[in-house]
Amino acid sequence: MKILLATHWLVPHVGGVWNFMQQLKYRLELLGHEVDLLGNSPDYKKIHIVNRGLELSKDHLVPMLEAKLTPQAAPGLNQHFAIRHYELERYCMELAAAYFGLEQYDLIHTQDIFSARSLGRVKPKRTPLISHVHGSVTQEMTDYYRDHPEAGVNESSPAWRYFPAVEYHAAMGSDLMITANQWCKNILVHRCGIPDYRITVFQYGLDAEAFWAKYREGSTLRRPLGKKVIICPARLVHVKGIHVLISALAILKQMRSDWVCWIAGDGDLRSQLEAQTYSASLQHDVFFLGEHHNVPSLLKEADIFTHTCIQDNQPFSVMEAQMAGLPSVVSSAGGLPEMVTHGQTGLIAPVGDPLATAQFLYLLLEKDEYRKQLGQNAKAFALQHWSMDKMISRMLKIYEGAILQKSG
Amino acid sequence: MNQQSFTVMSDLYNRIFVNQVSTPELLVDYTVWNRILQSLPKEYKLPDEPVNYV
Repeated sequence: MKILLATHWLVPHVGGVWNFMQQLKYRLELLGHEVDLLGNSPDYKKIHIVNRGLELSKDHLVPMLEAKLTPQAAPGLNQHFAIRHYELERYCMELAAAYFGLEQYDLIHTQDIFSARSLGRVKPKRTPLISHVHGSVTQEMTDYYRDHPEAGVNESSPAWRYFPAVEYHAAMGSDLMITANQWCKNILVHRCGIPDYRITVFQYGLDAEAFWAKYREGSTLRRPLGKKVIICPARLVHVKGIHVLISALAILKQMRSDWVCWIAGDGDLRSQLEAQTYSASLQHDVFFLGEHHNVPSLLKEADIFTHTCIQDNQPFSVMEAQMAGLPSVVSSAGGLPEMVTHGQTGLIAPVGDPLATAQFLYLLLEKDEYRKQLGQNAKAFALQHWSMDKMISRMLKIYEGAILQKSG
Repeated sequence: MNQQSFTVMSDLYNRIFVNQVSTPELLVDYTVWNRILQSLPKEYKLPDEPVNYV
């Protein structure tokens, strides 16, 4: 098969979607398939098929779109700057995909709602389109607008209704939509009105071989003598909830000090979070490691994994921590409660609750046997549940079914 | 992609727009836009109205 994996986001970029695309390409090519990767260039100035070196500058497209889609000619598009922004970006992808030519592909597999809607509009009718959804844009944007009333967007605003509309039309233009968990599916069904039967759910896989190779490499970083290590690999952006973790660690510090916390990742909030750490007098307990090329090797040195996110789908960091045999203290956000079983493989605190998080971290630091038992349970679960072979086999069944249906 | 590029009036491609606006002053790359137009489905229109009118 010749497969196009496409995203509206940047390729390459830092984050789970890119990891997922690379893993999928690697595994499909091992099985003899050919895979191209389409997306925005890292400077957002071009659309490109990154593995082939094909590109089209948006300078060829944007002047035409801006000149023709005036407020008089396209009033819907011009209702709000967010709609106009996302739509013009989408049209660039549509026109670039037409320029590269989609006839050559046996199947298109998109990785977000924007590229799904775009490619659904320009692909040949006979080409199946599978759209993967790695989180809920509707949820993220409505949370954003609720948290930022100064943006002036509420439930009656076009900008509020736009994102569920894209999700709905992305699904209706696809042969099948895939989500990694029920949380995401429920949003698509109940908030975006997508029929239940158009969405299937299955979890991601983790490349165990690559994980263990990195794990075995080891790290030059060693735990301080007499301390346990709490680890949080995450980008330093708002939705990852690192501010909640630091508040929880400030409470934990009042209870005990036999721990340090390693935060592995970088992002826009780094200086703000470092300032929060200083003002809580945690600068000798919390360490910002920055972007780290080998998180598995850090997990080897750690005792407890934590992820206090505000919203997340099915983060690789939790999968990796479980594979490493670490118990998790996570928030109840998004798909996390489907990854961690409270009291079995970890402990789940309400979203944005530093006190509950601190109490759970305390419990795992205090009770060695309990901590180790949860870690062993997590590892057993990970080995069975996060199988990459299982994910690839499910994906191929979906590809083959979609191709068969189109050719029938 | 190595074809020599030259520019033409953007109005040549007005058929893909729901409401056509004449912009004779705007010139676009003929090779790029011709190739795009040849590949787009016949019913393709901009803007994407079902998504815009919310």
